[in-house]
Amino acid sequence: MRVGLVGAGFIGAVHLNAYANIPEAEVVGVADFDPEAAAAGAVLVGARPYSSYAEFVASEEVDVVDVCLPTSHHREVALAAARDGKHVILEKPIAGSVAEAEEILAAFEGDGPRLLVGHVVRYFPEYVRIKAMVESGELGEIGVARTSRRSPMLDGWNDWYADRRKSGGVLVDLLIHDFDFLRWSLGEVERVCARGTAGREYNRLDYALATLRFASGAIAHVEGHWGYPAPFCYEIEVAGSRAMVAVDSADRPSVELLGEQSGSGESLDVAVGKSPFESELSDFIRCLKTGEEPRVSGRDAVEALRVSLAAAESIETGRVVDMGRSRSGSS
Amino acid sequence: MDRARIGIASFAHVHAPQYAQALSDLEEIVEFVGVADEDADRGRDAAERFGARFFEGVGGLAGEVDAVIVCSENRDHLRDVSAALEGGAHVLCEKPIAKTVSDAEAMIRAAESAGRELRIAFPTRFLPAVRKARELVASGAVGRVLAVNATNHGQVPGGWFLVPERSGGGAVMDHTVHVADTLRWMLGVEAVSVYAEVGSFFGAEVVEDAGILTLELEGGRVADGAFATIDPSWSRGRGYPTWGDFTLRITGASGVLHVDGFADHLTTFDHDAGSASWIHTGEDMNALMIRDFIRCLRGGPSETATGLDGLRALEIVLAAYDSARSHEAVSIEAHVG
Repeated sequence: MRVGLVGAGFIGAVHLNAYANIPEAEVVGVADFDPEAAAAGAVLVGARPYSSYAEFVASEEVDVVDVCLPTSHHREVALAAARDGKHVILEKPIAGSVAEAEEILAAFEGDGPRLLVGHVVRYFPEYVRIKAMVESGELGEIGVARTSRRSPMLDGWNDWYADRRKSGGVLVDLLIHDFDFLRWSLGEVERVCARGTAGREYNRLDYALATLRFASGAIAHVEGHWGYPAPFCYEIEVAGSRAMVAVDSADRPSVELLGEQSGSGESLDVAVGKSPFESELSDFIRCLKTGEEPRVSGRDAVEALRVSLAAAESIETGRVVDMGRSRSGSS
Repeated sequence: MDRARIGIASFAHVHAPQYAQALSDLEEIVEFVGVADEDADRGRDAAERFGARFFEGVGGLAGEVDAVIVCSENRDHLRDVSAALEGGAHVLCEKPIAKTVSDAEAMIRAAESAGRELRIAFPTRFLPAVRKARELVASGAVGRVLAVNATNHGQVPGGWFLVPERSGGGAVMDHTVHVADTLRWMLGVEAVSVYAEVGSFFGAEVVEDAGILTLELEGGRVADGAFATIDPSWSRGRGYPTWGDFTLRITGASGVLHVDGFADHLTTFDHDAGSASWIHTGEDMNALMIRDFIRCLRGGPSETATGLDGLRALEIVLAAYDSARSHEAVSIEAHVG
């Protein structure tokens, strides 16, 4: 599979490093409007740098376009790629609004090119195992799930992560991971109540606590923090009637370097060994080759976004949002 | 100074043996005089175990002591607190203060007219981690407090705890009050509204054994219109290495404070049990609370929660039950007390 990647920023570099280990995928072009970023990204995988999607698609034969742009640019490039008959791998969140997300989804209906949305948490080994334990009944009836995801504010192009209008803030960009995982494991969400700092001015800080009630009866509590004054970390605990399972990424790393060489840079590849991004992208490439359905559907990506937006609505209005009647529309 | 003479009214509550142990440990300042219990067998056993006298009624015990610790079922708090006050004793009452606002108000009025102290056992105020956190928050270490993510997990208890007429409710009634009181005390603000999702998953059946509460707090000196969530669930089973937890993650405008009230522990790996367990090695919060309560009886400065503090925590719980039925946030009505 010949891949062109658009957007050689933070997450673009993570994808490129993963592709370097995936023999079935050959990244032939890396596009970024910043020539230095394009060149730096291209060097990682031996690809040619381009300044835009239009430029590389005109020069290169590619099967797949991997979109790692700021969320507000997803729609434009995904629709163009669909028109050009290219499969699209789209970094989460699928879009910033349900309307845009539905438009993207519609563009990939039918037998033409396919859409794969990068909800990478579904490829983290501990989350995969938890989902399997829920499904097998090993945990019994699920009562309360607790998740937390805390990250320093990311430095993106033009500081777009910190601009809630562009990124959707901590709920849409970060906690969508947990909302998607919880839907995957526990099923559909009925109600959402959230409180957060959205709407208040804090410098590069966005914090939220959300409670979800599922149709199954299970309750989930979700914490998210952007601007966390420590390295990225996540926690999840799922308590069922038969057993409870819990993991905290900050507990005992399998390899930890201390001393002058350790630096202070954060890494998304918290697991030693195969990166979840590599697992995700190689699975996506495999699905494109074989025609199999991926672990995460386009519809899943839209539904996770709806939960994020329902939480945002709850923070804005102070009300509880019934997912059947939410402002972001029902499916 | 003479030792404080203290008795325990009822061993119905699981905390009664812990208080009795604390009274024994504090023998330099406490004389553990006696136990009253309507269940005479239970009361006699307890009295014998701790070398104290058994009394038939709370009134008789109250006449012999400076203070009574009331550990009866929640529905009996009014009865036993009133008897202790009428007998002339001060009272430290197990939380929650009562299962209804009217009982709580009657207890507060009874203490006022008797001219005796009514204090409520919220020992988590005395956890060293919580006290340190309160100092740090007050000093501005995290900036203005924006949010608190709190847990007070436990195991499903048995007996009257699971009978709503006697307990007033399940995990939300049992555990929320500890966290709600700690938040009020630490931040110096009242809760304005509460939203709750509750359920029964872990074996309690009639009462709820799980819940997540979301509180909105009024603005104050250290809190900036903050919000908080409380997880009071009895979600810890026999496989968990300890009884539960008490944690707060306090997020401020310029920092984060992780507070784990029972972090100090040893881990033991028992070959026969086949699972690990934690042995708490930190200070005993109950002994710290009782020391403070005695200071209060002697007219010294005290941090032990008052009857009004107990009522405020109960109001949050009762509003949470309303919210769990209506699926909307419910405003918290402050009673005069």
